[in-house]
Amino acid sequence: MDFANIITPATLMLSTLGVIGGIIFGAIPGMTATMALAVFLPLTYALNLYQALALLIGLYVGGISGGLIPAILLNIPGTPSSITTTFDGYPMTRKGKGVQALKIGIVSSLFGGLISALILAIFAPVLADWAIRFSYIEKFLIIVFALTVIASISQGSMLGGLLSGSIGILLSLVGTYGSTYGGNDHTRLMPEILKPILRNGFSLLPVLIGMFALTAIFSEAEKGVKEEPHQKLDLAKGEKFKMSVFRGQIINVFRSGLIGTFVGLLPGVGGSAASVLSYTQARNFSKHPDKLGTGEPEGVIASETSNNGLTGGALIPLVSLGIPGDSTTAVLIGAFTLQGVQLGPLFINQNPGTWNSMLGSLIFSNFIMFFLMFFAIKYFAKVIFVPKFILYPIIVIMCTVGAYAINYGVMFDVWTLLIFGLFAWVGGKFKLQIPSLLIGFILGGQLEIYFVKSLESFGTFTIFFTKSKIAWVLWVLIILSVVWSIILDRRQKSREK
Amino acid sequence: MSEDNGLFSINIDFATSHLFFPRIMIWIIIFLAVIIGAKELIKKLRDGSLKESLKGFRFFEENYDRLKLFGSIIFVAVYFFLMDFIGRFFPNEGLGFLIASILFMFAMSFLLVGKGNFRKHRISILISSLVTPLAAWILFAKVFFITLP
Repeated sequence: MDFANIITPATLMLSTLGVIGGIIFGAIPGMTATMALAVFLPLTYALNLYQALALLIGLYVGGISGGLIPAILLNIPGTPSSITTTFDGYPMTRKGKGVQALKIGIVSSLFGGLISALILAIFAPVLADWAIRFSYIEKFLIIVFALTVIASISQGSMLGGLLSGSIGILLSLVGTYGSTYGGNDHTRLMPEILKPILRNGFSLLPVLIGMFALTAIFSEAEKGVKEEPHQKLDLAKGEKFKMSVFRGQIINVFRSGLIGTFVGLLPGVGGSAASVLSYTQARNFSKHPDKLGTGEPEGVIASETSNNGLTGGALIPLVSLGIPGDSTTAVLIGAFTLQGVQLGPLFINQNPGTWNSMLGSLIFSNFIMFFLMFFAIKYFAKVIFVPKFILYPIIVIMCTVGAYAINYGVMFDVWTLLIFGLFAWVGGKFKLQIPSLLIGFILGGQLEIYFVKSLESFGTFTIFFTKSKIAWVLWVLIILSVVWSIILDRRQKSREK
Repeated sequence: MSEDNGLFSINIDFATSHLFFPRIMIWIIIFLAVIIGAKELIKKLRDGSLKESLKGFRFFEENYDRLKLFGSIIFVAVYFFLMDFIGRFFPNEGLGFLIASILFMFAMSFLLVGKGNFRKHRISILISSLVTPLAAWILFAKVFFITLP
């Protein structure tokens, strides 16, 4: 292990810059941690892998944490994972406890991040070791499992989620059936005229950025881009922060951190699910559940601990299976691809330096996030006031740079931004579920390879059921997640009645 | 591995293998769409709200802002086109990006801020339209050596 390479002034500085940038992106409503990573990803060309990861992980941690600022001060979540922070954070601001709420949120974020880093460090190598034994069939089933999980936890019906995921998979298949994967190099799913352009299919990053950033901007434009009223923020006043708030909240902290990590672990499921789940659990276990929602620190703690818990959790499947834990980690895949490193069960064993660097960056970023936000909160809070009519064009420009540079200068990737931005916007009207679609898109190519290779190797469909015990376990998990979602669906329907 | 020549055996023809999985996916999509459609249809028929739903389907939000919405889409498209077009005159210098970005940012901010508010914010719009693309251009093209159109 070459520590001298890992802990250099450059990586530490990049980590810090990443956290600062992340907090800013996270704090501005409408800009997410995912966007931050997507926009900065092209910049990592010039860096080596350790430095790239330091920057990106810093952005990730900062981005998720930054969301609490507008959530608490303006009742607007900075990122989807901070939605539940508004429930108790904003009432606290109204009561004059805004600064206290911010600091509680920051400390909670630190705890969540550290808990998940610990679990990541212990669990990921174990999972990787186990996953090495997977053959094509098990790999195929794991991806199917991931897709059913996303479909079930997504909002709306599970069938809708599966349909969206399937559309995503189909879209990912557009292009050439590459011979490097045993294909015949024919193009498919495109008309003759478009062959020269679509030969390489759609690139992930423009699709990702387009569907999140441009779609949001078009939706906002449709609604008329109403600016939020500025409120006088007097951050000097208010109750002082005391650590004693955390006394009696230890269980809350650990439970929320674990929930966040576990939700992050589930492939494809991200921010808002973690915080919602954690908040509901906090309410179930609270000594005074009716007070939640009126400005109880408990609520802020539950929400913020879990959404930072997500960071470590989402890295677990990414690193050990090569399957992203959420859309933000999906962007991280891009960073590894840029540097030519393959994520999967062999990753940790073959790249111990990179693995340790990631862990180190994660822990370091959490501490930097804490110090920066805790002591400089006043400056970060000002960021939320950038007006949308300036912000949105800037976002479009940043996205354009990212999309163009991702393949060293392909204009079609920029157009992809617009195509998918429009596609997701129209799709949303028909209740298309974007997160499911995205994961389908990311995993579609692999799904095909594993499926076809399984069939080519064994020659029969029944092999998917008879290959190994692990395959059975996976089938059980798949069925469980389908059943679970049907139960959730029924519960929701009865609630609606 | 022994090949089952039973009911479930399958042989994938190499020449058409590029269509194998896509075809499966297309069928799955059709299947799911039909089921979802049927479920919705049955539910609406039972509720008696079928006619209502068909009439009441609104694609656009209520009172949607036509100007801002279509303007945004068109401006973005024009921006991309201009960036490429101008860039061809100065290949790989990033000037296409710079010029188009300044124009885009100005136009877009103007569009989004609304006609009434423009006077109030015209200075900040002007400044940011010039400064931000310039800063981005310097940072990306000059410091990080990223090729821009």
